[in-house]
Order: sequence, then structure tokens, then C-alpha cells
Amino acid sequence: MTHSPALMPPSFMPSVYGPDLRAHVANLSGMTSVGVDELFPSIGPAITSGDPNDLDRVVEATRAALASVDMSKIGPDDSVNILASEHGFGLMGGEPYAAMVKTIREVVVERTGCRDVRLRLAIYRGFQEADEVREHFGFDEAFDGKVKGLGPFDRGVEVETVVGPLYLVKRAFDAQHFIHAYYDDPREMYFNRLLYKSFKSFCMSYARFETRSVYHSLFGNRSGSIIPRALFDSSFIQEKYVFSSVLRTSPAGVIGVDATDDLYAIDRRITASHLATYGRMQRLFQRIEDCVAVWDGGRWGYYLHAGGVIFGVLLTNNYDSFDLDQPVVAGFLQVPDAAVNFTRNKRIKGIVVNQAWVGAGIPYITMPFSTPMFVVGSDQMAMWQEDSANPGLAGRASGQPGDLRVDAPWPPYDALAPVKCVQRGGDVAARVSVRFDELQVSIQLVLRMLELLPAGAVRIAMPASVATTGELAIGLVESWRGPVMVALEPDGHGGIARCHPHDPSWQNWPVLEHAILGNIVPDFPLINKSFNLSYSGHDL
Amino acid sequence: MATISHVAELDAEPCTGCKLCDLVCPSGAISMVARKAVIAPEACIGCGRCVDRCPERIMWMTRRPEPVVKTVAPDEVDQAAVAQLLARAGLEPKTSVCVCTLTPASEIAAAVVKGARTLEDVSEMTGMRSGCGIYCVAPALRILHAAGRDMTPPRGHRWYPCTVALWDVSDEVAAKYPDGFVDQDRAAFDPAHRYGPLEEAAP
Repeated sequence: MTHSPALMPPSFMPSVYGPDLRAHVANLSGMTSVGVDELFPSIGPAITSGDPNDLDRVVEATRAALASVDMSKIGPDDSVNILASEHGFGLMGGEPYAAMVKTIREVVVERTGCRDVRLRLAIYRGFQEADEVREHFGFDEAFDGKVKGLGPFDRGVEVETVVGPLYLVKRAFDAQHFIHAYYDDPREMYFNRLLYKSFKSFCMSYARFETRSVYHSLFGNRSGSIIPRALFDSSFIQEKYVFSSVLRTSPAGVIGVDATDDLYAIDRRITASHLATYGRMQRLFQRIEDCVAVWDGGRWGYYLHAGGVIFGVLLTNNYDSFDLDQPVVAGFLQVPDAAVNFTRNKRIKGIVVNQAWVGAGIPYITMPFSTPMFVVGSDQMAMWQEDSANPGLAGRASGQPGDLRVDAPWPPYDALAPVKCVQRGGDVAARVSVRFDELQVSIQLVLRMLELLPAGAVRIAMPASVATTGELAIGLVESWRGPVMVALEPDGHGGIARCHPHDPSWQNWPVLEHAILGNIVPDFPLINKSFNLSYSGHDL
Repeated sequence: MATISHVAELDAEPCTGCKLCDLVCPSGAISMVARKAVIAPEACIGCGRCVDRCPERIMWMTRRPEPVVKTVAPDEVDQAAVAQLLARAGLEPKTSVCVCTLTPASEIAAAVVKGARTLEDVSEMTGMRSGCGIYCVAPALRILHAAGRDMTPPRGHRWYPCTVALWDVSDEVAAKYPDGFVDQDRAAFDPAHRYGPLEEAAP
């Protein structure tokens, strides 16, 4: 295998949701890239690098795919919405997807004479994102200004489906017809399990937040596939639907365009192709041992791609997403007695946030609680700290209230920003998990401290005490049980007159009394030791 | 439970009274007085959506002098009523209904038992929806629905009554989508077969 020079991240769309463009990590010396074609020669090459100069192949592929599509539903005086979704603009910088969308409009106008072809940009939760996308990709020019954004909080329209009323975003369907302009990267394959993935926009991008919530939170990630299909099969959609055009991808990049009015047929082709290509990539990701992930792109860090799959896949890659016998890979609906369904890949030893958008709410919340995050640049850190949609994440990146090593740091913690480990289960398992997580963080801290060890004498004499009688000194140190306080009163002769040590066991013994209520006697020792409180306060 | 460290503020002078901020506010903290937005700081859960929404760009988030903790503690309400409500809604108590604040179903149900009548009440009492504002909505609405609350949506497009769950899928629909894993998922998420359609169970 050869080591190629590092590939640069794709082109960058400036945004109010992220910091200004900064130096890419790929610019660091010694960085290298491994091509997908070298790993898996059977995965064919991409048709574009995402560079604006070779987009003509996307245009050609779109035109070729649309040649056989029936557009007879569209009359010259009709109105047509082309529906585009936000993640397409994260694929290889978004230019290939934008080229497909623009080409669809050109072909529809040529073939049908339709004068009212509009673009509807479905975005996630940032109300300003659609305007940024339309400007960056030149959609106003391409669509004669007939461009509007839409999102989950916009006015809805009730749609009768076989599972009852669901709600779509009205503006997406404010024309007589619509065209589903999609892309097929498997993205959240741990959620959709590749089950009718091509339909997902109907319950997500084009849907109100209530519908998105039903799909994700009130169904499992296998049975959830009913929701987008019920919407697509509804008479509301079928009366307006003309055809779908899907930007096809593999781990190597954009490989073509598939277009037909039969979305079910496209979906079968996509699934077959994904199992053959992304299945290999998922396996590879599962075999990656200790690693550090770097976010270095112009959009939500969670959705940035490598090897065709998003960071979220690496993060949740504990299970085979394609194994449908496994009922839960990641999901909001939870099985009894399982408090958390967001698994995490513990082999990720750190996340470097070189460049990414803030403000996503979920999915950032599913980020590991105990994986060290390093946010590059004080300007970017300030954005995370002021991000009210992710109140905990900056906390996790720089320590949370309750950890003295962060709240009142002393050397060397002032330079290390340890990560607070948090579990919310409140039971024995949660306390054990916290211990393990803290161990991991501590090992990383120790290794880092060893690297930072200053030169100089190993041992020096303490300075003579200048403390005088009547002074009181209080020291607080974070111990493994929590803060330990020591109050000292000097005797004026270099000795100690009074001393009061206090560890958090004092406050936690009454907690144990509550924790054991309702449990059986043989479980008491286990519960007791999961707290492991000090009996005397001297074994600190 | 959510710790709310921010609060929305605005410069009311240039406010055009478009109400867009009001419509996206999850906790009913914004009202319109004389065609100007007015923020009730005690009800604001700091999500920042109004600031992003405002077309005039006259709103901003500011740090509260002291963070506010929004929560309904288990000992505030009758736990048997909470358990009964969740069983009717078909939600496991520990489920993180709001995945952004990790607010469990048991706390949402506790808020409803305590007297929350609307989605806005639940958000204001628990801090739910202070993150993405999206994925917690249907389970919370379902708990309100199961408690017999009025599900008539408020004016505008604040929310729509949408509560369909895995437990509501009819045999006909399951047969229409035979690869929809309805039976398999029901067995996985409700091995004791305790949950059923909401309409039949609602009081």
C-alpha cells in the first residue's frame, strides 16, 4: 500500500453556525491518505473528486439517468418543486449534489416547457442555513430566484396515512408536483439499517418535527421504516410525486445518478450496492483499533465523511448495523431496563474539533461523555461554550461544574482540562461505568503529563513555612470520590496546630441509605461497595 | 432535569411583531404585547431558537447570572400515577425522552401528573426541548394524550397532535408492510406485551 499525500477536505461553505475557515489538519506535515481503491480494489472509482472543474460528469450522468424518466405529468403551465435535502451539501463539498439538482431543473424545463420550477431546500435546525446554501451554490441564478428554505419548525400540512395523520412541511409541497432529489450515502445506517433509506426524507427532511419524533422516538429502528413508506404511499404524496433522482455514492465518492418514478426500484438497487461497498467499509471501521477522530469540515462534525461514512458511524460502530436480527443498534426507543441505547466506540481515544458547526443539539448529545475532546482555537471554543443547544458538550470538552481539577485547577490540571465522566443511571452499573471511564481519562492524563514533564531537579527542599498562628488555610483537591477538603491552622513554628480533613463520604453515606431501599439483602454488599465510601474518613 | 444557563433577550424597539419567535418557542416564554415580543425570563429554557429565527436579528442569548435548574423531582408526585401513565403511553420510565437533556419519560410523566396541561408546560417545568427541540416531542405529546389532556393544537404551527407509536400499528398495516418488523420490534421493546394502542387505553 502506498502512502499518498493527504487529501484536502472538500470545498468550504462559510456559515454563521461555525468558525471561519482555518488551516486544515491535512496541511500538517507527515499527514497521509489511503485511497478507498487501494483498500478495496473491487469498489470502482468515483466520477468526480467534488472539484467544481470536473462536475460535468455529474451533469452528464444526471442527463443520462433522466433520459428515460416519464415527465408527462408536468405541463408547461404547472408548478414543480424540486426537493433537496441538507446532507447532500455535505457530500464532497456539496458541489456534485448541487450540480445534479441544477441539471434536473434544466432537463425538466427542456422536456416539459414548464416555466415554474422551484427549488425547496430542506435544512435541519438552523434557520439561516438555507440562505447560506442558496448563495454558496448559486441556486438563485439557476432557479431565477425561485428558491425557498424549509425546516422542521415551519408550518405543517396534515397528511392522512395508513398509520394515522402525520405532518409534513407545507412549503415543500406548495406546488402541483414535486421531484425527490436525493442522495444515497448510508449516513445514519445504525438508525435506518438501510431499510428503505431512499424514503427517509419523507419522514425527516420534508417533515415537521412531530413526524421526525414519531419516526425516531416511538418506533424501533427497524419498524420505523413503516413511517416514511406510509407517507410516500399516501394519496397526498402520490398525487404530487413525479419522479426521484438520486445521487449515487460508494465509499470512493460519487459514482453516478439513478432516476426513475419507481422509488422502490431505486431503493433495491441502492441497498444491493451499499451492502457490497459500505458493508466492507463498516467492517474496516470495526477493525480500527485505537484512533483519534478529527472534525475538519464546513458542517456538523457528526456528519463529516471519511471513507464514505460519517463520523457517527465510527462513533456507534459497536454492532453490525446491517444485522437485522439485532433489534437495537442505536435508537431513542429503549428496551426495558436498558437506560442508554447510544453505544459508543471506546477505541476512539480523542476527538479533535478543528472545524465544525455548533448548535446541532442532537446528534452532538450522543457524543461520548468520557472521550477527550479538543476544540481548536479560542474563537471556536467560545462558540461551543455559548451554544445553548448543546449545554453539556463544551462542558465535556473542558470539564463540568463539580470537578475541582477544572473549576479551581492547580498545576498540571490547569493546562490539561480533564474530562468529567458522567452517567445518569444512578445505579451500581452507572457507578462502575463512571469508574471505568475515569480510569480511561486518568490514563490519558498520566500519559499526557509524562509527555509534558518539565526538565529540572527531581527533588527540591520545601521552603520554610512563613505561616503564623491564627491563620487558616483551606485546600480543596479532587479525589476519586469527589472533593477532599483539608483545613489547616499553623502553630507559627513550622508545625500544625489544628487540622480538619473532610472527604465526600460524609455527604454520601445518607445517599447509600436511600440507594438500598427496596433491594434484597444479598445485593447490599454490592450496592455498598459501588459507593465505596470511607468508614473513618482517614483512608482518603 | 435541565440546567438552563442562558436566557433570550431582545431589543423590542425594531420588533415588527411577526410572531415567528413566539411560534418556535418551546416553553411559551414569548408573548406578543402591543405587537412587540415580550420574553418571560423565568419561563425561557435557553434553547436559542428565537434568536436564530428572528428575521430582524434583534434577539440574542445572554448568560443568566445564576443557572436555573428545571426539574420535577420524583418525590413531588405520586409515583404510582406516573407508572400508570407511562404504561398507558407505552414508554419505559428510563427512556430518555429528551435525548438532549437526557430527561427520562418518568420525569415527563411526573410533570404531567403534577399538572402540566400542554407541551409548553412540560418543557417549562422540565427543560425538555431546550436542545434540538425535535425528537422528544412525540413521546411527550403521547404522555399528555394518555393523561387525557386536550390535544387540540394551539393556533399557528406551534405543534400538531402526532402521537402514533409502534403499539398503534394495526394488523392490516403490519400486513401491508410485511418487512416492517412490527412483531419483532414489539417483542424486543415490550417483551411482556404490556403496551397497546393509545385510543383504547386513554381514560
